[in-house]
Amino acid sequence: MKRLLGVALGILTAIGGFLDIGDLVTNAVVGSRFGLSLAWVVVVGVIGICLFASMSGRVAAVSGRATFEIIRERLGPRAAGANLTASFLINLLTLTAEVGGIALALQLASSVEPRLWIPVAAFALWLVVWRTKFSTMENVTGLVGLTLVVFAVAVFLLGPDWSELADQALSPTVPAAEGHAVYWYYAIALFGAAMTPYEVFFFSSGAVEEKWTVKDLAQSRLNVLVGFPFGGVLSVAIAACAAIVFLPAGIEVSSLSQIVLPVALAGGKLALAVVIVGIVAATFGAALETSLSSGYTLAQFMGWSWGKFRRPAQAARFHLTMIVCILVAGAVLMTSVDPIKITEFSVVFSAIALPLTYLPILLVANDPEYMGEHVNGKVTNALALVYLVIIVTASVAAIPLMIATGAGS
Amino acid sequence: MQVVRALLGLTALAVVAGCAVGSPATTVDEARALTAPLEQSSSAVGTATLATELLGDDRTTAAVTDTALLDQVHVLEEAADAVATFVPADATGAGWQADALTAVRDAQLAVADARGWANGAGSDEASVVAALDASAETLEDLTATLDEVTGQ
Repeated sequence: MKRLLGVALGILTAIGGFLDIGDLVTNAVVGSRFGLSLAWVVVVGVIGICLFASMSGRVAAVSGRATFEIIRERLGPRAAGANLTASFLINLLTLTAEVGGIALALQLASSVEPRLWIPVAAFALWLVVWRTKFSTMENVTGLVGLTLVVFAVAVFLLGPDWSELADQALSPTVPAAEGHAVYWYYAIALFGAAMTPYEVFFFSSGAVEEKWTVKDLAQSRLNVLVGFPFGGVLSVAIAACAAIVFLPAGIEVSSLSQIVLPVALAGGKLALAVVIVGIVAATFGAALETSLSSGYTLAQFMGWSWGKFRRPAQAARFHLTMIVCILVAGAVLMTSVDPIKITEFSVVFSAIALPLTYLPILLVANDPEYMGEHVNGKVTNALALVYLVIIVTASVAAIPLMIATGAGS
Repeated sequence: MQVVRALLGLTALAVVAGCAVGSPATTVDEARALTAPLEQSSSAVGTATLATELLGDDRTTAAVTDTALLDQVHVLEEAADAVATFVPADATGAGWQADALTAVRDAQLAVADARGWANGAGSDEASVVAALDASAETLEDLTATLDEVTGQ
């Protein structure tokens, strides 16, 4: 019974923890402009993150070591250093977007300007990272984040024309008002939102934090293969809400305050309260994950003592890295830069940097020296190679498309 | 080598000249340039109407409506800036610019009024929604006129 509860908890936190500010914003923007014609990208992204996370979880469980320790050992300090620089900067950009997301969500609850919430959010983030146990942190934010299921409920309450939604999703076309370049730019943004590198750093380091062994592989696989697809369903629900309410009215989503309006329209104040709680939990949970990921990546690369399972005094440089990153994120946001713009850039840059983390994990997952009998099977490798092509193509195309479309404007 | 340098210099000059203010534009280009901020304004007014109606129906809180309206004030500011900094090539373009600027300014006023109402000041919900509807109609008419020119 205890094991069953453990499995259920793992799956539920994987669902609740799947969404972050990047998913919320990108799916709503895409829904308001393209309807569900980009829903296929969410499917591609979810399969990709399942593959990526299960490989990195398996590497961590079998070798007992996390991503960047192995990347440095496998690629050497120079190539791994370049990899670290890009991954660390994109992680910092994502952390900034998440802290901004917390502030925007708290503005919705209070009407108080986000700049006043940023120091509060940053302090709360540090406090939780410093004081709370890893499992408590992961479970609480994941479970509260589950309240975002209200987006799926809202889709039903809005009473949409199901055949039209199905048509948009199953026969995707580029809307007349949007060009092909903009369509593909947002396809890459959605892909980047679903396959954010920090999720993998967090997942593999979390496996070490929770002392996974080969025995835990089945549960880890279940968490990923059930939890993440349900998280993907919530992503599509956000896009569907925007497609039902905003697309016919010619409204383009450009702020977090717009994203909650379809939920209020469908379920009134109660649903609105639930969705705001969900957004705070999702952004706070993702901010915790990105803060930890910044500490994980640098500490693992430098060979410092790291992990939440150690007291802060025993992993001082790991904690100092997180404090500095939280301060930098807060300082950037205090300049009044728009957190939504940061989010839009962070998801695209995530897609650009994805090959840097994906390729080393794929190499290690095939290396019998690290993995023994648990190397990738033929089917996994075939799928992994298909994804390598997709990831590299998205990475190469992202910047030219960003320039050609004026970042999708 | 000198020929290459000269060619590079000429290319750079052509690019810079192409970016100069007041560069010649066709009527279609002008109409297209003004359509984007008008569509942005229509989107802002649509959001403001939805947020206002939801508050009137007690389906949302004043904090959410206030935040949504404040965000739309910023969107309209951006749209007004785009229209105001547009450089028309002829009298037709100047006329469109004047009409667009008036329409966007009216939208700003309607959204600001709605925000006042959401915070307990200003007139009643019906007149606030009527002003937003009127603004949406003006923006739509103007966009339709420009769409005819661009052939969209």
